[in-house]
Amino acid sequence: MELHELTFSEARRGLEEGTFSARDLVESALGRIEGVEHSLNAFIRVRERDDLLVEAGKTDAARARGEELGPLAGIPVAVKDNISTRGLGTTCASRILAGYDPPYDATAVERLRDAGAITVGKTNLDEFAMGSSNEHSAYGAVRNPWDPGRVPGGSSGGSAAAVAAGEAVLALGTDTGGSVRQPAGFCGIVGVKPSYGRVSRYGLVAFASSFDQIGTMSRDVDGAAELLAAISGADSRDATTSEVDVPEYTGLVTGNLSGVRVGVPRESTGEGVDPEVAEAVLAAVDVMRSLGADVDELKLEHSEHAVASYYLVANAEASSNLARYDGLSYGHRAQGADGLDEIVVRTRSEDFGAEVKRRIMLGTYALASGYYDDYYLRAQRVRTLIANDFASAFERFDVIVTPTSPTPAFRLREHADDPLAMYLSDVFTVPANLAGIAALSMPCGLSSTGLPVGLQITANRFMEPMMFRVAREYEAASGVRLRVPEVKRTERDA
Amino acid sequence: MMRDVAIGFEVHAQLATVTKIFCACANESGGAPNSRVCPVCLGLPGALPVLNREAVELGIRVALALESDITARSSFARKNYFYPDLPKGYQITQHRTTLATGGHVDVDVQGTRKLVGIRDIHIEEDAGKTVHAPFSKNARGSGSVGLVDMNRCGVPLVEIVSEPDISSIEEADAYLRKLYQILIYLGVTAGELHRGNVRFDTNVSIRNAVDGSLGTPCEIKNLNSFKSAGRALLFEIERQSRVLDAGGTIEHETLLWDDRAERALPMRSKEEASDYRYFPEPDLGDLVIGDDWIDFVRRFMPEPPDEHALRFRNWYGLRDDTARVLTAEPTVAIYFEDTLANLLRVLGLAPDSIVNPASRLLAISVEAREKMSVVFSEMEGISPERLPELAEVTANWVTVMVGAWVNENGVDLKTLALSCLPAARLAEVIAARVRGTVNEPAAKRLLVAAIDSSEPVDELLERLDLTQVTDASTIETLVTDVLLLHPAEVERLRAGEEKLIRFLVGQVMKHSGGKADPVLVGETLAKLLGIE
Ligand SMILES: [Zn+2]
Repeated sequence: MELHELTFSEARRGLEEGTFSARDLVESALGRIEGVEHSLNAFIRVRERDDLLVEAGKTDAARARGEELGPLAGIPVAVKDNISTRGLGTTCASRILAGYDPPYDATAVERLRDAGAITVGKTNLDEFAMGSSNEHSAYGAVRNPWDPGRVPGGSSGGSAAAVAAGEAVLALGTDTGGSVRQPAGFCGIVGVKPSYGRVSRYGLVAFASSFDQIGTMSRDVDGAAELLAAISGADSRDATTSEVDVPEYTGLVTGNLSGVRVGVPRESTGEGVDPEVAEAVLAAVDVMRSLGADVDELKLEHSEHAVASYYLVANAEASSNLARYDGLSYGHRAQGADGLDEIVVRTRSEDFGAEVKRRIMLGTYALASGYYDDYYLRAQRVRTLIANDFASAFERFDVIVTPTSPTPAFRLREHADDPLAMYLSDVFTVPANLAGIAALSMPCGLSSTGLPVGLQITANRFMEPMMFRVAREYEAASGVRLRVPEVKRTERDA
Repeated sequence: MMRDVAIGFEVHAQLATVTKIFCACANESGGAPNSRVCPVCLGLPGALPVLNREAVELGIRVALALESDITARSSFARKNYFYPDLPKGYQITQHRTTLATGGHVDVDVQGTRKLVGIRDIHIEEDAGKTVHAPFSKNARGSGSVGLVDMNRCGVPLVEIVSEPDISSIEEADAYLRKLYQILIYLGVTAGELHRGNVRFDTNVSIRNAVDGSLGTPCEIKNLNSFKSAGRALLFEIERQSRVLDAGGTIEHETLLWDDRAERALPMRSKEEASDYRYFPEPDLGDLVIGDDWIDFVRRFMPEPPDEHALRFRNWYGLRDDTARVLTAEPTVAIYFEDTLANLLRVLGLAPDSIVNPASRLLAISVEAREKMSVVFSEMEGISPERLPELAEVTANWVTVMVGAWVNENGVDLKTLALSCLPAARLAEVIAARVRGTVNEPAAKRLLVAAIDSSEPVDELLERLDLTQVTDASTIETLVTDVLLLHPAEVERLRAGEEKLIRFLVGQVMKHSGGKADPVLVGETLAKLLGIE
């Protein structure tokens, strides 16, 4: 087995036992990047090889001296390029932020460093995290490592592809409406969207502030859990973080889920869901039942309105959050523009991509006087109803299991002319963002065409330990842990 | 023709907090442009606001002083608009629910009391400043360039919105001055108008003469002084009147006041009215203000001016007009009260604890008032008439004698009180007069000497030989000498020219080197001349 094929748990054990060094791990990640980036385009920037090797060497030296090391010491981690990193640039995959280098690190990035992780680079995404396919990037589309003719999902497509292909052991993504879970599902890895308020948003470039959360990605459950533990907890710089203690997210596999109540919504396997996806999810539920879980069906009354509600509120917030990009004091400015109005209009017209502009327009309308009550306010009321649905569901259930997406990864440009069809593929992921609760996606098998199928496990707010417990037991009992795929060499378009 | 008008105000005051409202940058004025900024107040991608509790507390003070209802749970909203000195593209303010609602400002308009209603009080962030600088010899010729200074971004503001209850320019002026006095009293703002610490926007509408209904209001922004507010109102009332007189109708407009040109120019009309697309600020939770927090603020809150004047009357028996003069500015009021406390101590009428430095530090908070009232209840040996008498004397010294010196020398009272003439020193000067150690003219000389040097007051008395001559035989000798020197005047006085008595008193005083007790001199003269 090659080093880049190791899961987080295997890599950490190897480091602890001295089987290999952090330098070896970083070398292997860099080698893999060299080998597959041409096909995948997962990274926007990779750090300088020398800087990475020096940093890895320091970790190895500290380990040799017997110093106490952080829980992620020496582990190569990729960071989505909408999370601020001082000195590494942060573009949000947008032309408008070309050349912008934040003067500060996001809280999550500081905590990553404190935990000893080595940031290998910044990953590609849909521009400003707006998209579910990673085709909307000023730096070009990201390809799915399982089939480079298909999308990796989005918006954290770069992070998902990098982890799936072994370019990094772990990655940070961000999940506003499924943006960690959906690409994790498409790429066959574990992706976690923590409860709203669990991880500081300070330094995460805002898309839709009341939904955005930084999430974690790994090829195993423990990797995602350990990374989440490292970045979680209250932050005095983010007023929306929670003071609730951060419990243990990792634990031992017991082979026992007795007493755990698992809810399966009817629509999980119903209309619009690919039969192979439905089959894989039901098989996963059977594994949980065989471990002793109590499985029952449930109905989430208002879930059919989730996508509409989500897109209205998220776009409204986005229209305000993106107002600051005017080409005046940082980022890119339209060439040759003169005078205030011309600079602003031309910069925003030329430097935002089509999807971002579409959402700014929709969001602006949703807030306009005369429309506010009918759109924004009504959408917020639906959001409350959906949160209430979950609140009552979690009185009966510990976790809710659904597919992550109705289908496996779709082809590039498959939804290019139909944004609505793409939005509807978020039907299972956005409810957790609307309700602010915890959810993860993990692989539950491969389709007949060899594409990963994602299983979503949702738990109540701050009930991440229960979510991880079910995921860990399922991972161990099912034996479904996907290998690192061979990445077919393709010529990608610019 | 004169028309009835309805005027309302939005008063913005920069709050005197240590740091800005949503970040840790210092809230100060001056300094190099863009020197007090950070990712938060620059609105850099990913930065988030965190509410400064001190800004809320100063807002609560205003709400308490105006007897507004403090909202137990209010929220913040984003007001979206584009301007180069607004780095996020929106201002964080309060919209659907505000810090407080209701309340009133008690205004005195030429002796008539008027209540101006308050609609709401909210807190928000200030924007930066744009300055237009000319440039020349550029490749594209000359023109002007907009320069942005973000130091002011995120300075906390309290906005006080009145009802359109004001019906004349005089009332408007009285309202603004009274509200300003209250804000200064509460210590919530530095209050320097020329620096833009306090700014006014006004809206004016003309009442229909037939049915009394209010016409379409127009808004005038950018008023930076009481004077420009008055001028702008006059301009706008005349403008609207002319339109109506000509049979026209008033269109809603927002005008910008140009102080130099003394005119208001339209900023935007209804057609292009900005849609601010307000929505709840997702980065901040609700602002929850419980009774405990309100009580805490109340406890350390300076007394508003009307309460202050009332207390001066109740505690010290001051006349109403004296109390009002003293409480026009908190500096004067505090100095007076401090001086009086010291005078009572120097005269042995009150225990030393009356000048507890802790109470002075807290100025005029509830805390200080409670401590003072305890001391008062323990004061013995002072008659009910004596305290008002000493209080009026002290008031006279502070406002007239010290006031005159301050005016002549162009020094402000606060500086004087903090440097050469602390309240304790002034009290010793007053005590010398009250005890009769010096007469009135000598007292004035003693005051100047006390300001000019740092010698103890009793040493000054001796060195300058200012002690009043009150010995009857010494004064009789002096009077006799003067009578012998001025036989002609004595003759005319006896013949009924009564005003000459003042001439003779003056001559005796001069003869004594200004030290004789003038009352005693008058009495002795009358006795020796055999007149009443
Ligand atoms: Zn700042």
